[in-house]
Order: sequence, then structure tokens, then C-alpha cells
Amino acid sequence: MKQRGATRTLLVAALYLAVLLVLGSTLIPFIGPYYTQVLIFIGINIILAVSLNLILGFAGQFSIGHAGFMALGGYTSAALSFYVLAPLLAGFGTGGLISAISEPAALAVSLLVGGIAAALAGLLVGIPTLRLRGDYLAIATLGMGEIIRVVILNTDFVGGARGFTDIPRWTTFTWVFLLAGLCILVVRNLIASTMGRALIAVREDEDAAAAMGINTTRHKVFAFVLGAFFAGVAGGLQAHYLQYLHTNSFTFLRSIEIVVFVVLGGGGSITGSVIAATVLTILPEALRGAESWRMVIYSALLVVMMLTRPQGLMGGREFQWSWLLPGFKKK
Amino acid sequence: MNQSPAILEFRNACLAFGGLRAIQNVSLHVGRGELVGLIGPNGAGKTTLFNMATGVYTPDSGEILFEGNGIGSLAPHQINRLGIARTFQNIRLWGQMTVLDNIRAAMHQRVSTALWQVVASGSAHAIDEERLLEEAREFLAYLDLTRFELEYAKNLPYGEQRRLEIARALATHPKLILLDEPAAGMNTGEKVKLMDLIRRLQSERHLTVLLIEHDMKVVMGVCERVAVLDHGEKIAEGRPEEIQRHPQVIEAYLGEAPATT
Repeated sequence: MKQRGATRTLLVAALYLAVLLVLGSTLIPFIGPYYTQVLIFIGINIILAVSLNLILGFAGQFSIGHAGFMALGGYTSAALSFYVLAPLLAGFGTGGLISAISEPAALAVSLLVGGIAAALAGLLVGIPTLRLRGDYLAIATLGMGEIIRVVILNTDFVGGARGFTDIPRWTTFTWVFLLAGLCILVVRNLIASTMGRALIAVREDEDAAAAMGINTTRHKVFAFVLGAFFAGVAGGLQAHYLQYLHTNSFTFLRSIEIVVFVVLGGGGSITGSVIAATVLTILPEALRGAESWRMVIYSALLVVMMLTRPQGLMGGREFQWSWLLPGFKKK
Repeated sequence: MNQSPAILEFRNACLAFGGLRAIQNVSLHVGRGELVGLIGPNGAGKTTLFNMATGVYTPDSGEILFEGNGIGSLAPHQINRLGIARTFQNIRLWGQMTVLDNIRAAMHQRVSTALWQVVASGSAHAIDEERLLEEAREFLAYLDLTRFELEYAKNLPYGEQRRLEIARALATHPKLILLDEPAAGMNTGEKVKLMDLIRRLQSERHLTVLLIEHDMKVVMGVCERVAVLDHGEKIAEGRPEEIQRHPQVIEAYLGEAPATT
């Protein structure tokens, strides 16, 4: 069944990219900037939710510092683009064809560096803090997220309290959903593998996992670092879309919002994270008509949801094609 | 004192939790291929001894040797990789994983697929997965758990959960298996099957077994040698029938015999 796994993965990826490119050139100009922005935020939130789900839902490590990694990745990639890549591109000139190739390349480099910066921070923070469990880890990651934020706030090089302005606008719909797809693919394949089983074993009973030869610290740190990488990439995408960064966007409330995506969608379900991130991004926009009641309705929905389905929307299960097509053979 | 070379040996091991001396000067020798029982009243330190042998606790003083090498300061996963596996007194399966995945996760340490292979779900990964699946199914068949393959571990009946814990321990390919009260909560029929299984572990899989058990029928039925702990000290050791008559053992279990002249 998995004989041609890599080939199939490539094929699906190519098809997905083609669909994105077509949508990006037809749908996006048609729906206008407001709906495009909502779509882009959905994509960014999907990356954040799925990457946190790896840490929280699969590895079972309660981290509420995801916004900190997002900030670090965002500011790093923004600084790289602003100080190095954008001047470099300006040197090439701004011809149509040149910028059509150089801008995506610059964005890719910028996002990669942002992701790596966040991953390194994850490694640095993860090694000491992942020895802690449960509530203690939550507090430690909360503190870590705030430290990153405050350090950035006091770094004049990236705008400090004024915020970081004039970041080049390189993020497009296609890029956001390409990376969201990549994030989902990586997490999904990882979880379905022996690595994933080891991670879930750590979540289910850490002592038993260690007694069965699983290096629990290494696996927890790995999940943490990979999750931080994608959070950094998401931060970079946001920076190159809004062209402006301010540390106020990365307070612990942002971290909590991402935790809500994961919990509401169902920890341990990638599909759940995608649905929850989508619905909870659209909901506040859709409720704009309710004006000041908007956030009350949003919060009330969360409460009702948790009372009626505490295991989350998907409750750890994943979407199967066989649900839609009864004849579809379940592997 | 023992003829067979030791696979596991405690030498004057001591461990204290604050003021409580949980293990005091315990020396114990388990020969390769032996089936040894460890008994004693509640709180005697039996499970603590297991925890020391598997790296959960580090002895304050004394040594623990596995195949002649000190393991006192190693981490649990390192000790398991050397060849010691265990089950737990209060079942500690990975409840939200299927029976099959419980076995496969325990086999994780022996898979070395590169990360990019996993992420791209490449061919090396596929080959490893196939091998893993095949081997995991063999363990399930051996423990008669095949029909529960896709059930969540937490949904299994109690006796099957105990067997799954043993299957999971076997999946790590141990040389020595530590069973912590495997018969607890089992009915008579299940106990007979368990005793048969323990004997088969020794005869068919050439495992050394160290067994904590309160059920004397099980202990006397399968063990070749029995060590008795009380208040963290080893008070007796010998063949089962000797232990049954040992005055200090009777005293530890039943209290001091009334003075008769």
C-alpha cells in the first residue's frame, strides 16, 4: 500500500500546487482584498494550529509560548528581507520577469531563516524546560514567550516599541496555502510513522515510554523544535503580508488563541486543527454585524462547544475519504 | 553461592526517600535463564527494587550490574536498550493507542529510518514499516491478542491488558523481563494461563524472569528460587519450599508467633 509512497506524495503535492496557482491567479483578483486577507489569515492560523497540535495534541506537551516563536520567526525574516534581501532585489531592477522570480526566492529564503531562528530558540528553550511536566511546562513556556516579546520590544534595530514598518509585501495566497499544505504533510507523515507512535506513547504515559526504550526527552524536544519552526514560518508569512510587525500581536493572548484552535478541533487530530483554525478565523469576521456582542458570542460558542464536545470537534480522529465516498476502499 | 553466571546483580544497594530507608543493603543475584520470585508484604520495597533496576531511581550506594556492567546511573530508556524490560503493577499501557501500535511503539528504538524518508514517506520508510507490522503481529499472536489488534488498549478486558503489557515488554527484545504482580486481579483460569506463559517465556524465548507476585500459588508454581523482602531488607532467599517454612518469612507475613514455652 505504501510501495510508491514518495511518488504518490510528489504527485499530490504537484496537483495541490497547480490548484493553488490557478486559484491564486483567478479567484484572488476576483474576490478583492478583504476576503483575500481573511483567506490568508486562515492559512497562517492553520499552520500555527497544526504545528502546535504536534506539540500539544500528539506529544502532549502543554506549551503556551507559540506566539513567542511566531514573533521570533516573523521579526527575523522581516529583518532579513528589509535589511538584506529587499536592497539586493532593488539592485537587480524591478522588471516584470525578474521580480516574478526573485521575489518568491527571496521570500523562501527569508521564511526559511525565520523558521530556523524560531527552531533554534525552541531547541534552546526546549532542552531545559521539557524536563518539566504539565502545569509547570505551561508556565515555563508562557514565560519564554513573554521574554522573546519583551526582548524584541526593546530592540531598536527592528523598530522596538514603534513597530517594524516597510517590510516588503511578498506573501501571497499561493505561498500561504503552499506552506500550510507542507506543514500538514510533514506533521501527517510524521505522525503516521514510528516517530509519531513514539511521540503519542510519550503523551499517553511518559514513564512507560522511557521503560520501553523511547528517549522521551529527545522526542519531546524534536516535536517542540519542529513546531517552533512552523510557527516561525507563520510569523514570517504574516510579516510579509501586513508589512508591519508590532509585539502587541504576539502577546500570550495570541498563544492562547492557538491553543484554543487545537483544543477545539481536538488534540491529536490534524483535520480538527484545520477546521477549528478556519472556523475561528471566519467567525469573528462573520460576526462583525453583531458589533459589540461579537466577542461575547464568540466566547459563548467556545463555552458551549467545550460543554458539549470536550474532546474537541474531531476528538483525535482524522478525516477519511471513505466518509464522503462509501465505496472508497479504506486502506 | 550460585552456579549460573549473573545476568542481574544487586550489590549492597541502598536507597532512601528522605528519612525512609526504602532499600537497605540488598544484594541479589539473578542467574541467566533463571526464574526468580520476589515476595514480601506491602511496602517491603519490591517495586522500588524494580524501579532501581530500570533506572527510575538511582541507588544512594551500592551497585546494580547487568551482564557485569554497572547500570545504576543510566536512564530508563538506556537500560531498556541493554535488555531489561518490565511491566507495571498498575497497568501503564498507552491507552489511546491501538493494541498494534502499543507493540509497534515499543519497537521504535530499533527503527533507524532517516527523518526525510519519514516525511516524504519514502521507500526505506515503507520497508521498515512493513517489517515492523509483521513482527508486531507475531508478538500479538504469541500472546493470543491478534483479535484485539485495532482496539484501543484502554478498551481491553483486564486480563488482556496485563498480557498486552507483557507483549509490549517482549517487543523491546529483552534478555531479562521484570514482571510486577502480573497475576493481580486475575481469576483462577487466567492465572493458570499466566503461569504457563511465564514458563514459556523461559523455555521458548530463553528469557530470564524476575517476578513480583503476591499470589503464592503462582510464585510457588513457577519460581525456581524466591527472595523475600521486608522493610527494605532481604530476609530470606532459597527454593520455594524452603521459603514456605522459613520462620522469618512467616513472621514477616503473619506477625511474630506466640511464645510457646
